[in-house]
Amino acid sequence: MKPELRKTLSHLFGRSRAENQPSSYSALFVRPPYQDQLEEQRNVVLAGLRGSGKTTALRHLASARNDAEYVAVYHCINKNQSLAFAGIEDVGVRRKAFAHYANLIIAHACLRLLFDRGHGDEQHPRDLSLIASSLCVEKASTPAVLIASIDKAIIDLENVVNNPRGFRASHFNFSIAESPVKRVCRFTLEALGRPVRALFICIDEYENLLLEELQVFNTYIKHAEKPISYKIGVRGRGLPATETLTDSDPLNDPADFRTVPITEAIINDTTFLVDVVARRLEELEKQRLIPAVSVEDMFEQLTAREEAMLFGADRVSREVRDEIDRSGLLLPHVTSLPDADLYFVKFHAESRGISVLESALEWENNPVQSATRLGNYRVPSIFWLSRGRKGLRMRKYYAGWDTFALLAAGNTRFMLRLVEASLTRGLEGYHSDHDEANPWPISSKDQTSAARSVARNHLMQLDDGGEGGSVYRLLMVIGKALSELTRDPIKRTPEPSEFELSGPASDLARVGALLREGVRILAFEQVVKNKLTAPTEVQDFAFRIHPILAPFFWISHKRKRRIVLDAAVLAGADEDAERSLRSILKSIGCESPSAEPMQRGLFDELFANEEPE
Amino acid sequence: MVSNDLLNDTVHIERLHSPITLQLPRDTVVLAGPRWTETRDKGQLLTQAESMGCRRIILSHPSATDPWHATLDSTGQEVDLRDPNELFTAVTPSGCAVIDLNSLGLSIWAPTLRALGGRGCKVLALYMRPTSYQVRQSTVGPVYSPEYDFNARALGVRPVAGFARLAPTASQAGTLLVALLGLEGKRARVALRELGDPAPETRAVFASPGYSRRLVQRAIWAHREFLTASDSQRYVSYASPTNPFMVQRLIQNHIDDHPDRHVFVMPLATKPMNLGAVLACLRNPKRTELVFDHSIVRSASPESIDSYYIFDVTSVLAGAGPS
Repeated sequence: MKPELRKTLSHLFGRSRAENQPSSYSALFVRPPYQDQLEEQRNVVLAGLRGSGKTTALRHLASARNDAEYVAVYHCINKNQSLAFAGIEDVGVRRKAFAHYANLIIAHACLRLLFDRGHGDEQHPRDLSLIASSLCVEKASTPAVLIASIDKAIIDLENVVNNPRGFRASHFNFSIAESPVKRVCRFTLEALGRPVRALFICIDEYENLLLEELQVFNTYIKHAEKPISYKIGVRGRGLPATETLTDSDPLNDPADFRTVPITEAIINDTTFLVDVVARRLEELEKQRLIPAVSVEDMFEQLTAREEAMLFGADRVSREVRDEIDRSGLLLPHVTSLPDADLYFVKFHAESRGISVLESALEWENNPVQSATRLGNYRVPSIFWLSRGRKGLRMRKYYAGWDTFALLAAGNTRFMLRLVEASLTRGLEGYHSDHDEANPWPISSKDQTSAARSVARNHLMQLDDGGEGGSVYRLLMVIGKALSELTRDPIKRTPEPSEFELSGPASDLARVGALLREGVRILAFEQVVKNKLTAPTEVQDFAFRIHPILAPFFWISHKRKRRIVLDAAVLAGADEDAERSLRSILKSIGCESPSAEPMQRGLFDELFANEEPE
Repeated sequence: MVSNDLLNDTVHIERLHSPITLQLPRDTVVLAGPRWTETRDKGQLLTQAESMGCRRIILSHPSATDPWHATLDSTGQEVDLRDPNELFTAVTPSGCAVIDLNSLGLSIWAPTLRALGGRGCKVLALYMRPTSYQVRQSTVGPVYSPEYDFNARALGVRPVAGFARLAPTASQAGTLLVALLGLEGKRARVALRELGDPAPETRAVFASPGYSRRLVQRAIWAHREFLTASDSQRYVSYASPTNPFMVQRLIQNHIDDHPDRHVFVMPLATKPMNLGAVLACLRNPKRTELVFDHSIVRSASPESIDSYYIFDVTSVLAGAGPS
């Protein structure tokens, strides 16, 4: 592959911070399905997990063109900054100091916006004097000078958090919460003039705020009124807390803000991710780095029958045919089945503990029922085909756009990673647009290898040495258990993908907490067990491994069958993962896990055939 | 046996082989952590210093989750690490202060350096370099990837006492990250994630050539995910693992080369390299921000010591008093 292509792939698919390069960023931007809601003049909370596109959407707002009807300022909450206030012991002072800081950073961003749009040196002595007074900073007559005054005030505040005992709160001038922000926002809109009619304050990574800091910003949101509104980016399902500075007046959804769950919005919109990828392919094509291709045609897509054939369905079918021939039975329907279906006769025989001939007769006598069974158990039977074949590295193919959409589960970043990794493999031998060889479609093998690589990289990022390390070990135990069940579906729950817990309350609480943390870091997904049929009913949840990790464990990426796992055993995974795994495998009927004699531990097989890149 | 009169020495770095004899003035204060005697040689070294009339002060955090305070073991007095005057008064070095980098965590020695800066006393940092590093092989990780995890866990990214920065960074485009990287891949990866998306433009600095070539390779391999996530594969440089002043200069060059950028400095490498990072931040308080994960070291200490290093940071600290 040409280095230029590799570099451009990396740039376009997000590894090289396309967000930092405004020109290419706007060219690549695709309006997400929730963009209209974001541009309304009301408070919006964009809730989604890492990689779902919150930052991209908020930054896009902040990069609005000069002729747009709104402007937006963007601030990302940095833990180093939010936790700096944690050291102020007096909670009241801490709130005051943080409100002052919030005022300063929002004012700074608004004035910076004016500066960037050429209004930095305009004289506004009266307005800016009032703003400076409300912010408790030195007077200024132009936005540029006021920015410098705010910079100095931030350094003064920095000295306070760096030595809280060294200052007396009564001697320090903190600006009061909220009012300076309204004043500076109104001024910004007046200074910009038409067509700008609204100002959005975008606060990203809201979950990094401490409770007292959340109360401050929540109060700002509560009291925001047109033409000012807040757009909040938060990791998770919604605001971490709704308290404001007034005890009895919390934020309410939808009265005070609207929550937009990003992942669900993207999953429900079938075109967004296609457009995101298509825009990047167009860019590659424009630079003459790849031949033209559509998203649909880029990936080879295997049917279940084709996949079965790749795993040796013809070999098993031959055995079935030979047995029928030897018996002398006339089974015209069964013998007319294609090899891609006939192998299932043997799978069914092994599952039921009957002979191949009995299974064939059953199919001959009940063809409709048998065809339905084949549809229901096709995937487990493909795993069964791949089992025990020495030298076979693949156990299943994860290929095709629809499969990638399921693996990404509404996460834009995962989708970009999957496509980039596939392109990297698929275009490995492609050197020039003059090449006669057409690289499309990318083979199922390359796609599967790409999906495994993305899964593995994500998995390795989960082990962070803290709580993530505990989640990682739990994930490895559950993943390996599901992998063993999937690998050998005979007389077991075939194609398990979901699980629920049973066991003592204390273990349920411990493992439940880890699973919820796992959901937050995209190791697991919470899935609804029951559809509510009455308002009094309580929603019940189960869990599954995040689909992006399915290729690593060689398990199904679709929602399929559910098993019950013992929370008491899983609780021990953090201490001794191998022991926990052995107990789990025993409880689900996998007495002899597939660790090879030469391997060091039970988990080695999952990492086998994985060469360092 | 090597003898050194450090009082009159103007050389910044002294490399010593154990056992050693330190010639320290009677009013020297040795600042160390509770685990300061874990290695026999250093125990001898510091016991000898005490026999010469030097005062030893053991500093530790009152709890694992409180990075703001330290307790003086001898009196139980709690000092606020953010208050340079209180900290200076508590340790009261009248002539010379020796800071033991091995037994004190960065979250204590960095504020201590800040408190000692510009006070007119001689400040030495003591470091013992192990002969090897132990690999801790995870049973649930890839077999081909030796993991170094010297730290049991980390509190996560939060300010080091006295080093908090509040300046708004309007966009990550206005920032630069200089990451000093050791052998533990996890720490840098997590710290980068906690900095938010997208990752700032990053310059990765590995220790070399003091390490063996194999260790350099392992360090890079351990950080492959960090290098990819920060897109810094093309911006890798190397610095001596035992020369803080080289690292300080390297960071200073980055600061000077990017006059309009806010510079994050991630000190996750060897202790001398981290010392260089802290010195650079002390010299450039308005332009730099430490990104540190407050990791908690495992109890096991290195098996043997290769050599001792003594860094005279007095002149560097002279221009870096508390802000």
